[in-house]
Amino acid sequence: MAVRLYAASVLALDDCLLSVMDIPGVLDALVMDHLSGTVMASGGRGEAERSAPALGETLRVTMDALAGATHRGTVRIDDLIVIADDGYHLLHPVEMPFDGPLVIYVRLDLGRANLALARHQLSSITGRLRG
Amino acid sequence: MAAVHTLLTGLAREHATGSLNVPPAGKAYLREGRIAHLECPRTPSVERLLTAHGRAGGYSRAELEFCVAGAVLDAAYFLLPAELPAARPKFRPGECPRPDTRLEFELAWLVGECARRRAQLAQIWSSAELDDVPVTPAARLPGHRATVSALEWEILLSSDRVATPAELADRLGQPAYSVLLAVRRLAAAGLLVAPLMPRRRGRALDRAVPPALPQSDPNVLAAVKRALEELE
Repeated sequence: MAVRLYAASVLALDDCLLSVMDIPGVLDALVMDHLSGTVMASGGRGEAERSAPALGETLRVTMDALAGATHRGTVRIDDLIVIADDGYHLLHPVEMPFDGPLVIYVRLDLGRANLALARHQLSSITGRLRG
Repeated sequence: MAAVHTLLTGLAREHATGSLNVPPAGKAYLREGRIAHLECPRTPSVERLLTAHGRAGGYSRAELEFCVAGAVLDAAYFLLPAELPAARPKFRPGECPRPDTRLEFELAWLVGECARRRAQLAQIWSSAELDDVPVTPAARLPGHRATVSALEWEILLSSDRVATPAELADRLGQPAYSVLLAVRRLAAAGLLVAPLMPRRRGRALDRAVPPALPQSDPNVLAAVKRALEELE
């Protein structure tokens, strides 16, 4: 499967994407900066890259809506999961020292992927980013 | 008038290695035709972004690389489209950035990304009238309730009605583009107003040297510089 590394030598993020692509049942994956919408690396069929701005906006709008819907009025999202007819869509924000968050997006095959396992693997991959 | 990126495109084609100084817009470093680093006085440096948050070292490789990439993209946004001065800028062959993180960026990718960011900004709020004037929160909400992001909250909280978005970016240790994006969103939501006493037109725009800023802790700065040197 094609993997495109944009900044070409932002090595740690490239490694992160490659690990994400190894999760069983992955169809597409993206590493992006949520605030600016900049795609740092992407892999898969190339469709995810085009939808990056909309994916970032989906996460932002969901945060806004949940902030309004909870009694606390603030929200912190660990994973945003949408089960659609073309797969599981997972958005996983990772806090960075400034700006960000960095968002890992992955689309998984409904038949081949194990959602709980994928979530677990995604957290351990992003845990390594900060360690 | 030609822009900085056209000159850099020529140097990239020749696989040049060295620095191109374009005062007052900034400075670009190339390594074998790829961008090794970009500096712009309008945007916080990597060191500033890392020290503003007061963590002494302890950054992972991914965090440092993300930070460098963020700073380069931020500088690119203001430096690449800047007009070239009448006198041809000096290219110094062989000069490397300090600290040299060994990261590299394709010029074409940076140029494309800047265009996308410009379109994103215009889509949120097409007016640039609040981009270079003191950030001034509205005295009252234009409705009953508003939702703000973490960065938007920080901007509202640190606004002293004197600091411009670029100055707040440096103070908060956040990329200038991110602050501009937040300011446009706040403006679109009606949470900011035009300041009563605007600065003389163009002054904030043309200023090459940022004003005196809160100093970074020298110990934290030294730790960050060491960490960046070790990225190699």
